[in-house]
Amino acid sequence: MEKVFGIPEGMNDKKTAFCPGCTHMTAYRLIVECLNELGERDNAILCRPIGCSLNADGSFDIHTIQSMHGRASAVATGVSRMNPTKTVMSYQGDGDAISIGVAETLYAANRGEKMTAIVINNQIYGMTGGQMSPTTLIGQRSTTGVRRADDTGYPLRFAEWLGQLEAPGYVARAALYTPKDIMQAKKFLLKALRCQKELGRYSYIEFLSFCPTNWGVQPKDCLKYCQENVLPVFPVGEFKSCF
Amino acid sequence: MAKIEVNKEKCKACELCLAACPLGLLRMSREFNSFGDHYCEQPDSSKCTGCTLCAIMCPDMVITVYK
Amino acid sequence: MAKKEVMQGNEALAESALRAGCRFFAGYPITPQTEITEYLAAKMNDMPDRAFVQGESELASINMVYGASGSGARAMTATAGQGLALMAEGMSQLADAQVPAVIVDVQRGGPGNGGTAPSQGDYNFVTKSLGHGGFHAFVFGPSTVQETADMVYEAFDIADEYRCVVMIMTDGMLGHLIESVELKPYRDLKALPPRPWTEKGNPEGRKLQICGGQPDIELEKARRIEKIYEKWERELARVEHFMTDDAEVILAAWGTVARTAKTAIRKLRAEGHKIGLIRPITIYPFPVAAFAELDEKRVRHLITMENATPAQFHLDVKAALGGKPIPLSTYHRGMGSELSVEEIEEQLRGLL
Repeated sequence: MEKVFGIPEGMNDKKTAFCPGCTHMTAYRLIVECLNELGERDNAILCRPIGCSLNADGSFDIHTIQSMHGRASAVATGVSRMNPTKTVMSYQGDGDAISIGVAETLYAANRGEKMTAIVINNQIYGMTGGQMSPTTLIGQRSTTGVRRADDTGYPLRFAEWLGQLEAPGYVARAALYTPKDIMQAKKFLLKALRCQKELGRYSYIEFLSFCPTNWGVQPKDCLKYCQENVLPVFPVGEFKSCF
Repeated sequence: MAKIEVNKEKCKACELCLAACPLGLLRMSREFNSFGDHYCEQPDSSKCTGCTLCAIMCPDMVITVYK
Repeated sequence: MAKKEVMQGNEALAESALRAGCRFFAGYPITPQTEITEYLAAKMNDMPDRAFVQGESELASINMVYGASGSGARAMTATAGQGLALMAEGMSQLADAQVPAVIVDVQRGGPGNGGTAPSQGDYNFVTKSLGHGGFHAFVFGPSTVQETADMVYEAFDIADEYRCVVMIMTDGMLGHLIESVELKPYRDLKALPPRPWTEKGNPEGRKLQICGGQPDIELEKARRIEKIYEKWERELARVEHFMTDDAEVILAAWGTVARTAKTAIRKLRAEGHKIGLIRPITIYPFPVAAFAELDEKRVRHLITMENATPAQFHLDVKAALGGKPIPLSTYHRGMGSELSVEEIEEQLRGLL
């Protein structure tokens, strides 16, 4: 028998500190797989954020630059301008990219920086223990309160927002909920990276991700929870595509 | 002819793979790994088609698929 | 000999940075720094291998500098007042990741929005801790346009050698002053010192993870960096002694205040008063020896002057004096305008 699926080249067997059912590592795996397919893994620089994603430390083999919370897009701007032949990516959570770093993310998109912004949207601050994030759903509980439209506002649909800008070449949202979703997510990510590499344009891709621990939902019940609550607010799809 | 191989020690018992298998061939072990977690197992590989959906779903890359 | 040009302080600084090999600049407009950003905007994007970005904020700008420098390019930003406060986070990250950068602070009045008049009120902030967590930058305090140009030229080398932040502390007066200046030649970008530790994503290179916070290497790193600070304090502190050989009254001042003070001191010297000036050229590392070695039998008074409230530079002088029995006083005034010759003269006359 022949191996048809395993750990991709550029990732290792290390057990990460992510909670059971967290799909951060799925996103990392897709990044590595896509870079491998494009032959770009050695030519890529990933601007890493502060947040749960740091739990992936040491489990993947890509050049990285550690960024401050919220600033990955600004760091990626500097990297990209000085290294125009590289595949430059930022990787952030929703709080990182859309709350504290909303200006950096938005302006990098609006300048059309040659980079791919990857945002993990799980509607909560994971690493600090479940506080309200810019994408927390109406009625969703967090350790800093229940989101109510009248005082904490609405979940921010950032991909839809960026999709209206002139400069970005590719803007999409994908889910990491089912194998089918994940295969679609990979297709989107490949397009995003190709948009940057081949056309020199800005790409934004948002991955809807599970956070069973901070949602208080069993991993096996997450899919149903998301189909009922998340997908109606954050529809999956391409909001802008240069292909 | 297909089968999966499970890295028991890496499994965190999230059970996402169980729902991913279209034929329902996976289950959680009765035994624990050294982290105190049950792990996924495929008691009978004879019906496995090697579709890789369980491995695609597993966030922790626990499953290797052979066909 | 290169020809002398007449240039504004801010423009001379910007031009000198380009000549030193600055490949990347990101900045946000703020008075009295804006001419640096404008000058580089007009020049950099037309130069090969260089880039200028107007950041959406100082926060973004400093992080762009971090990205550019961390991936191989000599990079700089310039700001003032609250802009520097916004950059504190990024400067702290630069220090943690040991990524070099040159940062210019064209000081304006503060705190808060303050005013756009010249000030030396950022002294404590810049010399003691530029951000959270505790670290030092190498800090120059120029007092002429020529010095500004020379220091920024040298700053890139120091930043690269020690992988640190180098600050140039000018102010609204020096930034807008027009003087003759002799600029150093353009550096060949390809002949700049190599930066093997930067993250350029080269397939043949080691996969460096520019990153702080890794416990196993953190303690070792902290010790190494402390050694660098000790070396700076021992070897790299610079100071100017102006007419101090026989001086009985000594004024200590830095930057533009020291520059103005020289006029007052010359005038009093012409009248026969034994008076002199000690001017720290690097304000971190602080030239401690210049004060610690003062002869208490000869010097009967030491006064510090600065354009800041409360006194900040004064505290460093006091510490450097180390309990030596020389009477020490301060004259300081922040917010409003630069200290005038007459004002300084009047204060000094009171000590004669």
